[in-house]
Amino acid sequence: MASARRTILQMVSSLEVVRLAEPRLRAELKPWLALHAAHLEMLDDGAVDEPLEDPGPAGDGPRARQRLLAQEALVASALADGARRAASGDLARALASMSAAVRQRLVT
Amino acid sequence: MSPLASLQSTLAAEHAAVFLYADAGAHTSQSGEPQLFGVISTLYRTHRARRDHLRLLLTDRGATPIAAEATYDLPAPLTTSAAVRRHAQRIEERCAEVYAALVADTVDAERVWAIAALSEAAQARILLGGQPQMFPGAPELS
Repeated sequence: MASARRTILQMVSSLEVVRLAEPRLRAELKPWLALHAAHLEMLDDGAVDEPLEDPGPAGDGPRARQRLLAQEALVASALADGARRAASGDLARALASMSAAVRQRLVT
Repeated sequence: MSPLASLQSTLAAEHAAVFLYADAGAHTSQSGEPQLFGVISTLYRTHRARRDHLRLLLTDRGATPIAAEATYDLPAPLTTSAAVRRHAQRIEERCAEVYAALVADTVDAERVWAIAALSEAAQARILLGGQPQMFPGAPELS
């Protein structure tokens, strides 16, 4: 669970950097941030999160968008892998659903 | 639920999906709605392939795969493409829920397959014009 939460938090960090640097992308990024917020809430077990890596510069508009979408695809894969490895069936189901939600938004 | 019971439950859902997609295809014009017809046809084949795979998984476990019902409850007549899309979205939602349950009830290769099927069902909903969800297949988590 901690690994999945960290993956999502890192993604949110990248989204926030681009959101601040690229106002034109804000509307597009809003549903992504809402999605990850819902997932983080579900994964919140009260533990203190470790510091995140610096997400790096946002880049220009199209490149930043492309990079974020590629990173989202990695998040979906990481969540699916977490579901595969989860000892608890309920956690596996939740992580698989989150992975599907990210994949779903990628094809929207 | 035991893995075996969960696989049988998933097979039951796929039997229904194959039947209902056949009906949806019959109510979609290939010439008038080529995009929708293509999506419905692809999803029909997808569900048929998953049904066959589930039969194999059950046979491999020494179980007898449950048979399809003689018929299934059909929705109100599918007189518009919007009705076909809504109907197909409901099929995908139902399948996403059984695959999410299958993820919880299985391990290893069967779980990996269920994770992929859940993801495909979620994406099919978008292909059919549906809205993204926070927790496909597990709506109570929202």
